[in-house]
Amino acid sequence: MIEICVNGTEYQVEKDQTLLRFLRDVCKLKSVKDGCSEGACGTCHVLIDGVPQKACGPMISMVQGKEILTIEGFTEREKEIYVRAFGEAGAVQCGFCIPGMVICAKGLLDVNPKPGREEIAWALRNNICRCTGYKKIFDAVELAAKYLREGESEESAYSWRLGERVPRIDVREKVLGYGEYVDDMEVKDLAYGSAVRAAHPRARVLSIDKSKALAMPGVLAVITAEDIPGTLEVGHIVRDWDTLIPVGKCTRYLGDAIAIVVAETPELLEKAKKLVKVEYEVLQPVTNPYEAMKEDAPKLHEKGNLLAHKHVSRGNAKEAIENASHVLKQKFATPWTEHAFLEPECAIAMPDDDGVLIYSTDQGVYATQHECAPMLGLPNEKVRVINKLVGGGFGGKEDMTVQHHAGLAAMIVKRPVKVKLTRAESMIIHPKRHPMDMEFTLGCNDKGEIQGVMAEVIADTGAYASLGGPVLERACTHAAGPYHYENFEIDGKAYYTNNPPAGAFRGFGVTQTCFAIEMLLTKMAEVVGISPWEIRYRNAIRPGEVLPNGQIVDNATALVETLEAVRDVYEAHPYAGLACAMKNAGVGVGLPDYGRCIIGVKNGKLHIRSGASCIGQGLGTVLVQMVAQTTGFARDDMIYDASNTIDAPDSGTTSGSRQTLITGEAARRACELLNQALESKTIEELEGEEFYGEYLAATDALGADVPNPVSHVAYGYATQVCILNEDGTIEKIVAAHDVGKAVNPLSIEGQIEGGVIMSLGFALTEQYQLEECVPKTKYGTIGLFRAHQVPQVESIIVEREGLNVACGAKGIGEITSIPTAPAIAGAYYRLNGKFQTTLPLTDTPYERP
Amino acid sequence: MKNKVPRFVARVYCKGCEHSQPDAEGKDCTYGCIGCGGCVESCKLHAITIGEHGAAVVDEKKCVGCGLCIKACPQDIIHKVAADHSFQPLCSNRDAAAAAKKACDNSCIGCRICEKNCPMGAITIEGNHAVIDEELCTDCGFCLVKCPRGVIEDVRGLICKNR
Ligand code: FES
Ligand code: FES
Repeated sequence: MIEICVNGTEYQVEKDQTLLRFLRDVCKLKSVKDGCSEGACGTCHVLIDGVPQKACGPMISMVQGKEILTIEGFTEREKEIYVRAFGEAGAVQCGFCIPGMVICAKGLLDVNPKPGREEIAWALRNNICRCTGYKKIFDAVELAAKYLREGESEESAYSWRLGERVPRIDVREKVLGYGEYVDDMEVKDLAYGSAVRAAHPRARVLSIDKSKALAMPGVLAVITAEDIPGTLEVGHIVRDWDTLIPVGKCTRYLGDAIAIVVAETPELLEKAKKLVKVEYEVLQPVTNPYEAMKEDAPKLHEKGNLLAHKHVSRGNAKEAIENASHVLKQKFATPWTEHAFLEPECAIAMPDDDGVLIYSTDQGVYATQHECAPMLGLPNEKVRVINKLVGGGFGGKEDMTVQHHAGLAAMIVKRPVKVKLTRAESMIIHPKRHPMDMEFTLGCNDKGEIQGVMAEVIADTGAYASLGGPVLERACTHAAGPYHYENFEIDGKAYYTNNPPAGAFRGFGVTQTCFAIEMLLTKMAEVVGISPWEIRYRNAIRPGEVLPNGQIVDNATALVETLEAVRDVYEAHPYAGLACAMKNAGVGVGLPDYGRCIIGVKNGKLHIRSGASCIGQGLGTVLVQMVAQTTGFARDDMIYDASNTIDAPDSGTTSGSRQTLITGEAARRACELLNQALESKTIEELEGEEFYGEYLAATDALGADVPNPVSHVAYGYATQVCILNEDGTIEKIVAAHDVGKAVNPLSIEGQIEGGVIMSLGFALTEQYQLEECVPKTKYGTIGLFRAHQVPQVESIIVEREGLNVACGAKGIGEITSIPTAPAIAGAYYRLNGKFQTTLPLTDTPYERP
Repeated sequence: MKNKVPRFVARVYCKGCEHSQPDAEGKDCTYGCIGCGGCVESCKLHAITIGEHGAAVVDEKKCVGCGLCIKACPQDIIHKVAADHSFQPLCSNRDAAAAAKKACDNSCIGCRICEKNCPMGAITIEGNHAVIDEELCTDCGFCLVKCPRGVIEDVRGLICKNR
């Protein structure tokens, strides 16, 4: 008999298990999050006799007689203080790491009521946060300490209008840990499903023997390809991704699913999976795009190995470069990157009338619906999808990883089924950032004015298309940089290989090509004899000018202002590097890009409903502020409903920094209709009515036959500066971002700080190693920046009017991550004279030995 | 990247063993603490005692990490570590597994189970015993949980295998 005390309650239990499983499954304490169950992430922290400790390692027998405290056991005052502090500091984004952070904060503050910044950072060193860059979490802990010492200050009366630093609407549930991510749901009669994965990246499946697994008591089903009622394939844009690999076909990467086992308990499930015997004919994998492009390379997909070929050309780059006074030509390479969101993929699906209901953590409920329905042999409307809280995405949750498997399993066993990836599976399965090999040629005149740029890009898109085509396209269209010149030509190709798929990743291809063009500009400045700042200032795009893609930029274009904002700090430091970037907001290039939002009046309150995922960026708060601004209603009179396909209209995927602008404008339009109705009626009289706002962000197709095509409705611009200390450590990053109208400066700073720190990893420490198409990196060895290692990040928000939609607000999600790496590489170039062309950089104090 | 550590303490990389002096069974370890008391004498803060298994034990609450005991130790088994580094393999054995097993009940036999279970890649086997890189370690405790020999200890005393 094991005795253990949790939040003041004594438990006596027979079964030994890990403390994490005990707290979540037996005590139902869902604030203790399971981010990896392998000791690497810190979301599972609890206090043992007052000391923070990860709960996924120790067995309960090893902590017998100890007192365990989780957030549920905090005093009411403590709860209020942490909610206030984390909210006011803007410390919460996706929220998945937050309870663990709060635990470690309490562990510190209980023994050190007035800690310094470094002590706070040290106390949080074992907790990874992928969203915030930690800074605002430190702020929150400082504030909590103050409230605990001195009592809470009067709570501010927020108007919730645009521009106000309001705490996010989901702070309370995320800080106290009662907000539900899919894994936290308690569902009656739940069964557990998981896929048997490919044993080899490329192998023909010769046979699948399910008999032993099926014979095991407690196993409900072993599902293979022939059990799929509809089409075999799913896919975000190209339907090329086999739900399950059928006998006779080849696996394309190690994450391929062969069979889905469904069992009564997770333990039985693990045992049963081992009993499924798969025979393979092992084949040589295609390990990189250069092998894939060979004529005699095996065809990984029917149409061949070239997923996408993009050619963008305006003016005459070749001639312009030939005539330029200075020409630089250089190869660059950027690596695979893992999203490393804190919440692993999880879905619960259940039979629902004659269809299926899927609870998901993804970047678009309608994308999930549209991908799953044909596979399940159902019309779209019979596949209903509801978003639970999403514990981070960054592009990595745009594809089907578990949703379709859960849906299929639920239909077949006619019971609710949960499919959850282990962290190790997550590392292998979801699409990563494309590694790209690039060759750039840049020609300038004597003044450093860009005459022309030519470039070639080769991308490894891995096993499946995912968003590989559009990512390559954005990489190409944005490779020119945010500069005014006319002669630009780029050729990009993305090849299938047997590596994990590459798809969307914050920055969407631009992170890669920005590194190349910005590094070349830094070098060119030296050749021309001007400063890296000056060369950018001379070439920077200004309102009314024409981008290399032909688009005339609008009055909201504030690249120059971002450059001016960092000029002094850049020039004051000897070892400073800088880089500029642009990033589209919205899908653009002539594709139908709709924002949709319904404002429904129910019990006198406004219900904001939109099928648009909040993956941590704070969409709900943005929409509430937009509605408050446009209608004048108070925050308490509004309810933001989670994204779903049942009563929220399709507002597209959370991708391309589009939700603030596109769904924001849709919400604003809905508000205008409401306002009109309110001219003649009272809100009581409007009870039950709905106001539907729709916005089509109309753009021109790539290569459209118009003199100045509008590729995107808006672009955000940025300049970032990296300042190094003499010893090579980073003193700080200064990031100036053009955001149009800042909806919530607190959230924008959070996006900037998080995006910068994410790309600090991209530039300096992160790896995702593949050997013969087999991923070798674990969550803990990626090299994610830890709390005590991050430098300061200073955000400068540049506001500028001129965009006539969404109250002038542009998206900020992705661009925060784009210029960071070249800014850092530029700074090291000044420090040590080594011009580096590949990432992560070498010869820095951050390099892992 | 070097950690900026708030506090260092001295730690004795040996748990001791009832058999650490050669006995009837001939068990003997030449690498561990010999209980000479040099460290005890060297410590100005009286933070070190000889524990029940015959090995020196540092009271980490009293220790300020001055390093005098490290100099005094003839066996070179006292190390300066971050006070917050909670999980520590307490063994300095250099013999191969069989000999190590024979010499001491609490010896690290270099089986690498901890290395395999470390999510951070922080553990290596050096000179036949486990060594944790404290800059990479994130205090999860998987090594303690998985160690078949009970070599790795939670110095805070929170997680204990034979409770
Ligand atoms: S769940 Fe315990 S450290 Fe990740
Ligand atoms: S808020 Fe920390 S991981 Fe998302």
